[in-house]
Amino acid sequence: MKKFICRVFIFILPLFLLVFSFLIVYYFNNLKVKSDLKDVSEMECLLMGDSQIQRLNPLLFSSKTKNIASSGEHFYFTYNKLLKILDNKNCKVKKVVLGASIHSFATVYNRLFDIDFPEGENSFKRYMYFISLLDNEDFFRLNKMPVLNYVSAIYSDPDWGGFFESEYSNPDSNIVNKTYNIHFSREGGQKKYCQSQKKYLYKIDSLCAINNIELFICSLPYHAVYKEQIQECYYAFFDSTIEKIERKNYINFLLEEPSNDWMSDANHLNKIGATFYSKKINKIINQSDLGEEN
Amino acid sequence: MLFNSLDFAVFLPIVFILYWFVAAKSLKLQNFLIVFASYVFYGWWDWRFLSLILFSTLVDFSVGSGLKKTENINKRKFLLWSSIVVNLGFLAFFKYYNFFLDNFITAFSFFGQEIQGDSLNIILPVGISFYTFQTLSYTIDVYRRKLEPTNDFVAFSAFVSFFPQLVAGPIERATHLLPQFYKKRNFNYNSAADGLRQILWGLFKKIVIADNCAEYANMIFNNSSDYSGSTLVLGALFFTFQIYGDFSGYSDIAIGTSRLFGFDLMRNFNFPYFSRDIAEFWRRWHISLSTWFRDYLYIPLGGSRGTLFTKIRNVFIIFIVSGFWHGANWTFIFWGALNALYFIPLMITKSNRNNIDIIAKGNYFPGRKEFLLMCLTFSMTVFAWIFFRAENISHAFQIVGTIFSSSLFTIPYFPNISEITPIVILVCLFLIVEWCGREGQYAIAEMGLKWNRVIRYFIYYIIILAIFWFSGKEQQFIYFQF
Repeated sequence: MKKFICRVFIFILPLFLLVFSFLIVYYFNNLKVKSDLKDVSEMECLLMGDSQIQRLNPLLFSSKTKNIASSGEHFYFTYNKLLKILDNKNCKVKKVVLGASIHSFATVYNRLFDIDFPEGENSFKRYMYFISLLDNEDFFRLNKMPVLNYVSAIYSDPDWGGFFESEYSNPDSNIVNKTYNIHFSREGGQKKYCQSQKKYLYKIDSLCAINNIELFICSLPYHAVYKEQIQECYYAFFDSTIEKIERKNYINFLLEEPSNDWMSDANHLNKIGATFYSKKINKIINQSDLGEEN
Repeated sequence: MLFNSLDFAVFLPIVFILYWFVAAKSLKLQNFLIVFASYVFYGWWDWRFLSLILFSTLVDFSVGSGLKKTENINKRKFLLWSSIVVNLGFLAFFKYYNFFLDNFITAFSFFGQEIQGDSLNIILPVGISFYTFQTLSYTIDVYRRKLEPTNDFVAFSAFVSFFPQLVAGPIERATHLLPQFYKKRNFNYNSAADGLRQILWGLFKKIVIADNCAEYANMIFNNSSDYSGSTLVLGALFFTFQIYGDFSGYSDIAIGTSRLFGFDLMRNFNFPYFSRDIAEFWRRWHISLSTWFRDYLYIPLGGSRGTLFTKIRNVFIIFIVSGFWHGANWTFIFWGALNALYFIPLMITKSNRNNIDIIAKGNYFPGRKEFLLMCLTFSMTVFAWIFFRAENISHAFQIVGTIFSSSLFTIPYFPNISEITPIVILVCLFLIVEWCGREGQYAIAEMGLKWNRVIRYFIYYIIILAIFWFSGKEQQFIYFQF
């Protein structure tokens, strides 16, 4: 019996060491993320959401602002990022500008939130340090994830997103159409709308309400060709979603059609456009009497 | 509790240590620990159904005791039938109630009679088909005086609920397993090490082969109308390896786990896809079920004795009942009947026992004739699996119709060919390992036993890494639903 146990122990020792080394890396990276989160919590205003919001220049905001939006970020991850930031005792965040628009509820976000798709697997790698691994029924179950994904997520840098500016302008229709297809095309019987985005948008709203943070939902303008292609039903879905938010500070630029010189592609402003809208948003969020008419 | 879960990875070492270190001095205590651990193992899924196992145990123990006390033939028959009625009654209710009800309604409506009947929302207790047959084997063998009825309730409970094989077999005979609970078990290093090796191979089959094949088999079968005949053939092939990896993997883990506790379970699979005819396939596939039906149904019906009509009838009965055992769906019945059709020509020509030995024993490669026979048997099996896997009969015929169309000669379509390639390579490697190890109890039973330990461990590490690498696509064991 002793011989058996000794041999089993010797056999599994290298495996334990391997797992232990992963846990060590995870532990230290987690410490680093916590310290970075503390720095973010020193800010007064946070710009959050997907790549549309990434274009807003935090330096053009009057209060201490940081842009932590990231490309294709599902609201689930935004919610979890915010949750961790607010966990800090001395959190100074007073305002959050959250990007939400028609495309935020498109099919692509179902893929970004489903580990059975490469996009979802990638989301896990980008955000593992921001989410709770044990309490995660919506996104994945601990034992349903390939071990390889954990290993690769441990060694991946957490996605903090951040300000990004583009000099590109006058995108051609191919680029616009390509983006439209990425956002709205459905593969393998996927659902038309992303209901989980809706759920976590409301959760972000509640979280901000509980913590006395002013939440500004912001829809930046689209390229005219892109906007034209979006089906009416998506507009209706978006409107009904926004309507149900109680403490609504909605900054709506969807009706505006900026010149193509201001767009870098279908749904992203370039440096000139982003500068204009950054200033405009800054002005709006600093006004005390915001209303739905925005 | 699933064998391929973190829960079981914690559960097994705890039970192992308690069994050999705390309970080792008393056989009674060891048996009691097995009962307790088995009830925890089963209750992890749904504790409410533990009452069914307990009830079944009480009924069969009492029937066994009753049979011991009486020599009166009528009383003995009454006791036997009461056990059969109770056990099969539970099985019929939980597994077949809705099937019979739906078919009665359909049959009556066919004759213009509308009858009302509400389907019940019944949860099928995991493993009911397995432990029911196991306990029945006890009562029948006691009735036939092949086995002394037991006075030891704890040993009998352990026999009924023995956790390694409780939910998906092998379906043990009381004559083989029950006496093992009476004897003192001594720890045997070689047997335990072999058990661990078999568990490792079982996990590889389940997690690497079955679960990965399942992903593509499900994709193709669930959207069968979108695919060409050639892609559907690939889907059937994926399912062929899924069901083998899944079920034989479970059996390997069950047998390996039993060995850790000093028990010897019967073999359940013997490289069935290397069979040269369908009779050989059935001697190698789900052996514990096939032999159960042979001993308790086929032989009492007359077996291969009597007129040609009797023989054919018996073959149909055993295969159809075997199909129906798998589930309350016409697809399983059709699958059983199809296998009977495969088998009957062999029986008529008396060639059903032509291939008893191991194929190409002692050689690296089979002979040309053997190879062709093996391919033919494999193709027939793959075809039959289509009926087994399909949602219903019309779905099965839709698949078969598409396969036998001109689209069979098109290039199979896959959305992401780069994802499927490693799985195909793995299945090929798996087949090679299985072929090389076909003379052993399981493919890696004797692999590298005489090699340097470092090399051997290195191979085991590769298998473990493959298990981790390909994990995460966890699918429930197919046979849990049976």
